[in-house]
Amino acid sequence: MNTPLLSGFLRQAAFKQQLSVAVTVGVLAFALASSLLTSWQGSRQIRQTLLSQGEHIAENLADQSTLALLYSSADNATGVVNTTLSFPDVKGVEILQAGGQPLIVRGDTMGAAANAPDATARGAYLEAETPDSWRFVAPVRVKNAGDSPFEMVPRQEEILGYVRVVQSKETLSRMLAQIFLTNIAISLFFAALFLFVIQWLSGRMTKPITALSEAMARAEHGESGVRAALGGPKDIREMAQAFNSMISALQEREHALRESQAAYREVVESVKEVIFQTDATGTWTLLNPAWRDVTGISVEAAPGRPLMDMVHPDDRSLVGEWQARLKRGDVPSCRFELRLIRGDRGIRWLEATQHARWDDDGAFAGSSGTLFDVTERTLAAERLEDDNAELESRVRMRTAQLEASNQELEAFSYSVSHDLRAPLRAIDGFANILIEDYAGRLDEPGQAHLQRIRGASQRMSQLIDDLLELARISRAEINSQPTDLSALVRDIVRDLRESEPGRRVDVAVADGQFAHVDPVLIRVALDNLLRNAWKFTGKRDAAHIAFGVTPVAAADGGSETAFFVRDNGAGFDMAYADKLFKPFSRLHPSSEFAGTGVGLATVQRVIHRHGGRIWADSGAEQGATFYFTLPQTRI
Amino acid sequence: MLLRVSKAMAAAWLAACLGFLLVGGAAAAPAGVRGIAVLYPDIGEPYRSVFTRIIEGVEEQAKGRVLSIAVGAGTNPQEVAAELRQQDVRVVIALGRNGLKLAASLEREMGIVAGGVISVPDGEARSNVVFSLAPDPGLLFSRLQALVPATKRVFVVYDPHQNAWLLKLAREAAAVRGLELVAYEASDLKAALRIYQDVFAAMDPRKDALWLPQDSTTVDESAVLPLVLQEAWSRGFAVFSSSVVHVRRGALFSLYPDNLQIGRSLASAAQAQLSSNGAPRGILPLKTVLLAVNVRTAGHLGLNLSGRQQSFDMVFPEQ
Repeated sequence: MNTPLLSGFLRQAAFKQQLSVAVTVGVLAFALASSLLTSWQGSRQIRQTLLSQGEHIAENLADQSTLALLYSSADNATGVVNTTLSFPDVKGVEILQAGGQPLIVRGDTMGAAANAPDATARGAYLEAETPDSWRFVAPVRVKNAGDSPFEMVPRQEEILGYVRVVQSKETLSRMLAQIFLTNIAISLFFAALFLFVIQWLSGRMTKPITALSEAMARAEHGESGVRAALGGPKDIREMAQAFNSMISALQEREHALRESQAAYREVVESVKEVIFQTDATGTWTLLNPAWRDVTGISVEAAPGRPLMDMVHPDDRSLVGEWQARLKRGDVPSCRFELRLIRGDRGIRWLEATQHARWDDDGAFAGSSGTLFDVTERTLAAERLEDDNAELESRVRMRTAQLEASNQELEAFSYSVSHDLRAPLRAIDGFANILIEDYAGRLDEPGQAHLQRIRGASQRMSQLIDDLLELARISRAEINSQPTDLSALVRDIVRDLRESEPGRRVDVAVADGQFAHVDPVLIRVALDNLLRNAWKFTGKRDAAHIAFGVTPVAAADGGSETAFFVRDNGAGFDMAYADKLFKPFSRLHPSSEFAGTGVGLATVQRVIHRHGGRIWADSGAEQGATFYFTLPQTRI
Repeated sequence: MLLRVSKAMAAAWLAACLGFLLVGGAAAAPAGVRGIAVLYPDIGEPYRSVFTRIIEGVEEQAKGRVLSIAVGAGTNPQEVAAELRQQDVRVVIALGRNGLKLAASLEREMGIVAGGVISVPDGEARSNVVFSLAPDPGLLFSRLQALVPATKRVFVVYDPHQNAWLLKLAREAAAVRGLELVAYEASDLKAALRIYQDVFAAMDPRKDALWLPQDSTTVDESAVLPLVLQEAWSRGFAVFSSSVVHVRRGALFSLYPDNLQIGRSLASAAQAQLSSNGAPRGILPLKTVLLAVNVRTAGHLGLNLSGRQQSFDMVFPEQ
């Protein structure tokens, strides 16, 4: 069935045509089949009826032929024979005696004389059939009332003879033809009616579809604002609604796309950066107007030209290498600087940002990216580099001068300090001699003055020692190594306890605190901090000193570990915290707490030289905590 | 058509039930009357009711239930004989052809009283008593003379194989009643028809009448009866018959059996044999008859039956 012709028709013909052809073929086939079937069924029934009629005619003739056969008188059967022959289609009649001798032969008997009737037949039967006629035979018997139980000898039916009736099939043929013609005519009439109704219905059904199809065709050809009429059956209306919704959505998307393209074009055309696209061979395929500003070459002239033609010869290998890496997929994108030769042969420095493009099959399709004119920046950088070199030269020169000055100053300070110590020792020594040798000659005020001279000279000596220490620390070379801070703290505390055995101070030291520091310098710092704590808790009955670590916020926003030394001593007012680490600054009178005011400055110097920082937290009479960090303590 | 079939089926079913009751009842309790049994044909209507009525007459006369055995195509004669012996039956009333044939196969010591048949072969008639269903010709002739007093001559065509015994009685009876019986023998239908043609030619309607005996050869109901009735109607002579069916179709009158009375007669004969009182032998014509008259035919013949209709047992056409 699926022949090329049929397939071609099904592809070419419209729905209505296909439906019409299918219905026409189906209805005609149905009409023909039903007519044939009806005719066949009718022919069977008519044949049965005619056969039954023929047998009935034969039996009737047999019944009425009894007297003729009994008397062997053809005259007795003339009437019934004529009556029989008057039946439609009866072509011939024959009455035979029991021995087969014909009594009456009328009409066409189909040459029946050659055949002997069946003597055992109880009633009429079809003896022979030709295409044109049937021949029936009926035995003629003496009729009686049937077997009677009152008679000792059963009655025997005596055969008197036979009758033959030849019946034409003309009626059968005529009726068959009439039935077939009538059926086919009726079927064709109803087929035509049905076809008309189908045509009308299909036209009614396909009209909305056709309208929808036309609307789709208009939309396909680019007509905008196309809308399908909402008519026809429900599903067609829904289809038209869906089409209209789809067209509306498409229009909205088209509008949004145009706006997006306009915005994109505006952005692309307004930016100062060159936006470009190349194909797989490295040929320009897309450039924005900034291209002309940067290169002096019109946008229209560039497409089709290889990128490499415009690259400075010295940069071509670099550019070529990046292109190859992109193409191989080694990197998804790259950024590099290159020099481009302008149309006026000038050179522009460009910073290229380039991305690889891949097609749907995964093949390299080219690249896209931006070219940022960094000529001014590059030139500025070159100038800045020159300036820096000059500046560094100046700095080195000034540093050398400063180092020389420092060395001179330190030498001066050292010599001053050293030279001051001799007269101070003389003052202290002679004041002591006066006290010891002339105690009896001096009154009390005189002795008191001598004592104040000794004290002042000793404080000055201490001050000079401290200054020398500070100077030493400032210029000492740092030899960092892993150092056990906890052990250093315990060692210092032991010295403090030995210096003042009578004091009861509770000292808590965190174990296992190590740092990569110069052990000599860090001991100086810890000694100053612990000695301060020891000193400022001197008025506390229950003095507490602690050394430990705590996490603190780092300057860069991270976290780091800070060491701390905490006491519950006199503390200080945080309003003066900025003076804590300045040399000779004291927040307490020396009468209350002895000191030179150089200790914390020394501590700060040590911490700073290790790259750490130091700060304090306190309140008046609330104790103080000194925090410091060391590079090795960063988390 | 369907209704007729249903009625026929219902009648057959009823008859079968009756047959069962007759057989079963007799076999179960032939109370009082021992030594007599009835063998009757197991057959459908309209014959069954005839035999049933006869058996009723037998039982009335015997004053009790008798052993009745329906004889059908599948009946085993040995089993029947064994049953009869078991019930100590010594005289059998054989009804119809089947009853008589079965009775003929029984032991010779068994007494047989035959009934329910028109005639029997000569051999059987001599050894047993046979109560024929053929009306006594004397009664027929008497009724003829009563209804058609002008009758002087009676024609009859008969098959000697069937009705020789009856014609012998008929000749005697005609002679007694002053009638001339003109009898023709015919052994087949064709011969009978030719004779009838001759008879019709010879008959004088004013004083002749035609007798149709119960003869299957000469009184063919499809060929002869229409011919005879047609001729009688047109010629105006009286036709009387030994079959009540013919009266319905146009014969003037007929005598037909009183079945209940036949049963009584059969029982009396059987009792006589049982008691060894020297019961009669041979075939006996029907004496206990009823009268059927076709008043239309009588009217056509110009017979005045007014005042006598109440003595007719059956009148046609049916009112």
